[in-house]
Amino acid sequence: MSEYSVVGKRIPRTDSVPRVTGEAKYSADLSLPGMLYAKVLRSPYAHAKILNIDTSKAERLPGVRAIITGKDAIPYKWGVFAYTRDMQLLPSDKVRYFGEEVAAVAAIDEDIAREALDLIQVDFEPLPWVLDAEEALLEGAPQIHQDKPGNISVRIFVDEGEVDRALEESYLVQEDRFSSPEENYCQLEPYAVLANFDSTGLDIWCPNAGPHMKARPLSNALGIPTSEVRVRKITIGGHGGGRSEVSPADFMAALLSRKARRPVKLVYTREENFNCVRQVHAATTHSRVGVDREGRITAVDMKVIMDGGAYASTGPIAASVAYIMIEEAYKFANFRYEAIRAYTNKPPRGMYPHHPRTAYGGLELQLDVLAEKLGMDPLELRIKNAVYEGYVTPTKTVITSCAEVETMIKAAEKAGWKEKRGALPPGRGIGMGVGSVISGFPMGIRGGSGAFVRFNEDGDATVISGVVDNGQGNDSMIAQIAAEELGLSVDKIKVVTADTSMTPADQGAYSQASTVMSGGAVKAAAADAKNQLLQVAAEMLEANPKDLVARDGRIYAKGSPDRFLDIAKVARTALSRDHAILGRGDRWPSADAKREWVKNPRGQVASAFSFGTAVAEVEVDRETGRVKLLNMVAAHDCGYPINPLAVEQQIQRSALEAGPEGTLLEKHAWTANGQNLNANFLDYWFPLSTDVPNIDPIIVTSNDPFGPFGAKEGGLSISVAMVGAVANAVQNAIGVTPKQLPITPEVVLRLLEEKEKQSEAKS
Amino acid sequence: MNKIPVSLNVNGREENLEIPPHKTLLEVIRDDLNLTGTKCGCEDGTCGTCTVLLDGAAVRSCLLLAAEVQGHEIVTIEGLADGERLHPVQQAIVNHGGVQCGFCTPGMILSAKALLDKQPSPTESVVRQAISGNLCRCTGYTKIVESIMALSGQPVSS
Amino acid sequence: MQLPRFDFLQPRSLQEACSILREGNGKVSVLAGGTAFMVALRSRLHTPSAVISTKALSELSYIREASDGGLVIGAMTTLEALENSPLVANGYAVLGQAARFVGVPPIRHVATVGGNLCLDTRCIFYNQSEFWRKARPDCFKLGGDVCHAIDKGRRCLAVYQGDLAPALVALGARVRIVGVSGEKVIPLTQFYTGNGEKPNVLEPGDILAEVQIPPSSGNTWGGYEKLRVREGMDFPLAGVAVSIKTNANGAIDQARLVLGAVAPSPLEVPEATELLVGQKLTDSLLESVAQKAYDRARPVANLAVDASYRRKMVRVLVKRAIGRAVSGNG
Ligand SMILES: Cc1cc2nc3c(=O)[nH]c(=O)nc-3n(C[C@H](O)[C@H](O)[C@H](O)COP(=O)(O)OP(=O)(O)OC[C@H]3O[C@@H](n4cnc5c(N)ncnc54)[C@H](O)[C@@H]3O)c2cc1C
Ligand code: FES
Ligand code: FES
Repeated sequence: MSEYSVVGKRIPRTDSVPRVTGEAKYSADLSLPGMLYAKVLRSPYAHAKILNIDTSKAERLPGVRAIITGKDAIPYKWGVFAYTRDMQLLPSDKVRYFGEEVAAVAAIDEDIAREALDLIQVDFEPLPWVLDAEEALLEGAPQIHQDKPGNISVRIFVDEGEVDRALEESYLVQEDRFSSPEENYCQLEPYAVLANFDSTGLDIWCPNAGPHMKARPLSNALGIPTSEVRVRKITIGGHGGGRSEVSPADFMAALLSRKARRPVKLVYTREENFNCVRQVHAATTHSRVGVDREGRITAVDMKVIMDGGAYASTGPIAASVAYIMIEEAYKFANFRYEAIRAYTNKPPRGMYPHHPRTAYGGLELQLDVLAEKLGMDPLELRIKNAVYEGYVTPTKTVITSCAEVETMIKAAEKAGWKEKRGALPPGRGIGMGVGSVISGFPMGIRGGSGAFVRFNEDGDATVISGVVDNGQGNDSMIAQIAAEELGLSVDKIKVVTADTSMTPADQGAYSQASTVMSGGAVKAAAADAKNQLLQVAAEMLEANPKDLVARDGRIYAKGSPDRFLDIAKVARTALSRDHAILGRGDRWPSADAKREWVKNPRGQVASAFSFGTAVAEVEVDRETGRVKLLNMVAAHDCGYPINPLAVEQQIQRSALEAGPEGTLLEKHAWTANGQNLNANFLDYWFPLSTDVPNIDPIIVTSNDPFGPFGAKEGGLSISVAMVGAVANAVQNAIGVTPKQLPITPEVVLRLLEEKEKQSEAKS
Repeated sequence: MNKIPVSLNVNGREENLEIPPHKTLLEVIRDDLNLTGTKCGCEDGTCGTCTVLLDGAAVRSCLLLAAEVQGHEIVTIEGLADGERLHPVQQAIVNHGGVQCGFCTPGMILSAKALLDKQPSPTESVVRQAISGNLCRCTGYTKIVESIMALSGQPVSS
Repeated sequence: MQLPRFDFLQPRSLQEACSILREGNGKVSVLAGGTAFMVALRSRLHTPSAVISTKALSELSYIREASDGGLVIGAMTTLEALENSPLVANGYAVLGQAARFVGVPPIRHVATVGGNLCLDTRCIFYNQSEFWRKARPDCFKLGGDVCHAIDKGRRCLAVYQGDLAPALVALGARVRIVGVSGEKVIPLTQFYTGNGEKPNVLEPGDILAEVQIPPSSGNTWGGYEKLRVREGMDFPLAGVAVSIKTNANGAIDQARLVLGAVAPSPLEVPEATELLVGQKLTDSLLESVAQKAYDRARPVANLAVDASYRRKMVRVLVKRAIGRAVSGNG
């Protein structure tokens, strides 16, 4: 690692200080002169026609400055893809879930805005509703969108090789059905928007996963050029996938501001952030897996039904993620995967690093069952089925850098797998899970990232990039990359990011692309700037620019570091010679642009692949069913760690998300009329510090050919792998397969009781 | 609108305010005093992002009326650093990577400070208890615990 | 979401507080620690014209040995003070344990004993935002005539989910109420009505001023166990408190077993006392006691976990609470 002087170093993230002093401003912290406060009137029905909205009384309330309904919006339906346009950002015809937006008020203070809501009279005509994905797909179910017969939002179908024959010829076939209800992102920051619409266009501050991805739909919905939508830089309190898209809140605040000609702030309550932003799909998975005598996977046949809620959102991607992860985690030739994402009258479901948990989590449980039947160590079975560099998946993706096996071995070693598996006292269990995620998938003309690097007269550099930092440390990541490339220390790098009025377009924090794409673009821009600088230095040193290096703030010829020039001096000299040093660079996915989620699920899906293995140890209270996590180890192949501290953070975040959150505790529940029963932190079981052990992160490197300095992404493979690890640990502890996630105490107890009944029946 | 006079001592400064009686301490800190480092993550006492110190103890400012704490000493996250110099808890959180998105961080730091002021060398389980009212979605709590344990001088479990 | 508008009053004495409440005639509410009431206000379960804060009433904040050797605890005593009190730990351990189980530390720093005992009953269909509740007909507790938790339910079975009350009932506590009709001291068991709509006997103008616990003798042991999903924060999904006194031979002289969070009030299990007194503890005796508790507990589907699961867990918690008591961990 000594090859580099900045990247690969464990340093505090450059964005940390403002966050610990309270100085960092999040959207809700902003205010502008004359600012109004907005509140939203929401649907009390899961499904209803809007017949009439009378706002006249509310308009007369002193202090109210603007009220909007669907009538104030142009008839525009938004969708992530041309074929998924199904959502009016403020509906005018009907509401499709309990809590959907109906109208919004802006007033001089929050109390008045709230009081005004009570004065708006809405006539609804309630319609029959459906809350379950499988029921929604039945004939005669209530139609949620007129042009989507059968309530099918998206269908993904992949059928490669000869699945039926391979399963028939398999030595063992394991078949199960897994199910899980919705999860919530629970970003700690509730959604908030500040919008200011004036004669020059819209300025808007809001949590986002890509400012450019918000600007486009907002410009369409408001009928103004994209260049007049300025999504501004702001500190963001978490994403997790749930900030991926434009939010009705953005649109409502903008429309109110346009109407009132005043800045408008709209801050969601926690309940709204649970219910009216995005949720994570509920799903069932029917899975058949075959193995041969040696434990090699022969075929996988999977059918997934996902509850998509009321709108398509990123449905085509969401419905594909599971199969892509599975075929990239294990090698097998025969693969059939069908996912149907159904519309229901529940809040719309969005992107998530790992979903549905029943698909690959279920598969991991099945692999352990098969290993047991074969008398094999689950670790051995996984090593046998691991993928490798150059491996081609059933849907024709070539795996590039890959240290999957190494993650398996390292995680197992650290967790004491060999000593513990099979040797733990009753009630204890240890389990393993494996995961793979992709970085940088094709997104058409919006799939690339651009960056500029500018040298300032004191020798500092400013990096301008569209990358967004949602809390994962992207600003710090690009600063480190630029510093390394430019030969400066990190404190000499200023970053300007995530502002559509001045930063180049960027694909956003989707598909774990920030490091490979945005980081790659910054590296290219920095290289460009450096080359310009070296040119000047070469003249000054009377050397060949090819022989020069920039390192530690100095430029010198390779091999003679003592004869150096300060970079600051070179930068000033350049200026004195009428040369402003401005570097530019961009990065585009190396994926197959013809690959399409629904129509053409074949070809290179992404630019880089990361891999991870998690091991968890649990103790099950056999009387109450409570599962206590004793140990969590996670090894992740990140390619190369730009900042080991930040990679560890991502590994730990992913472990929390997949383990305690996704596998043990978190789920939503609903009333028969579609009301979310637990849109709060009391009844939605967000794990506490006392529920989680220290998470032990292991960084594995593989030096990716595409990513900057060999880097891929920070740790998201663990948000897949830890589901399998924790679920398998419970399976190992109780000797029964949990087919329902999360594995809450009630679920464990029921499994134990069933097991007891069965053994009684046998004896 | 009916307003009442309330004087608060916040970060060592006397603040004389006229506020409606139904305003919470959280609202007054954020809206009237512009101290937005104190966050509002739930307003029902469950998330801990609104944590402030009340006479040195960590409390939830969303569950207190501003009028109730007249005459008490309040410290917010803005009151911790000494000029440019971070408070040791802030510095530890920075050094050990105990901050990611940062939304839980002010509350987390104040809970840790309240604990360490009372008990300078807590064990890991005491630390975990003390921050159990502060939710964090990003860190898995590990690096936060490690940051605080670095100050406590006690060992961390693995 | 903003709080509803109200006036704020801060009486200087208990007397003054009572007279404000009396004049308010139901439109004025007591705000003690506020950890429960502020949440109820925010969701507009209450819209009083004024609230009176009792935080400044230091005359109600104390833990003292009583003249009869028992313990008296002022209503404004915080739960943190309770969990740290050597007086409580010494002979009334079940109470300290229960206090430690409440919420999370910053809540316990301000939450009071009085507020905990006066905690309103809870139900997953009731403790929701105003917007949420308005989307369906008012339930009994909101003044309507349906129950959303139980199909065709005829009365409100919202759950009393305070952690302290079961422990205090097990200790035989009484409460002193100061109010319109003067002062009275009643057994804590009589404080609760069993009615989910109105869980306690307080009338407008009444303030719960003090908890009185009879003396504990040397051989008294207590144990509290709580069903929750997380290691903190959660209200009890079921709770079990036990207080046991043994004699020199190790046989049980006195025993009280009380269930929490399975009904609109704490639920005593007198059958347990009958079974236990005069006996030495054996596994089979423990099993029968647990069965009696199970028979008595009839939780319904109004919390975030299944009612049958809660009921089953009563059996487990009873055994653990008694185990904890006799092992002296209590
Ligand atoms: C996140 C969270 C978790 C919680 N977890 C638990 C838990 O695990 N177990 C638990 O038991 N509770 C829990 N609670 C509820 C609450 O914190 C406690 O019950 C606390 O003890 C209530 O006391 P308080 O002083 O805050 O009461 P307040 O909120 O001030 O009052 C509660 C009610 O009692 C009335 N009241 C208060 N004092 C008196 C008095 N002296 N005389 C007459 N009426 C009075 C009030 O008018 C109000 O109706 C939790 C709360 C939160 C926010
Ligand atoms: S805002 Fe106060 S605890 Fe969440
Ligand atoms: S750092 Fe994001 S919530 Fe804690």
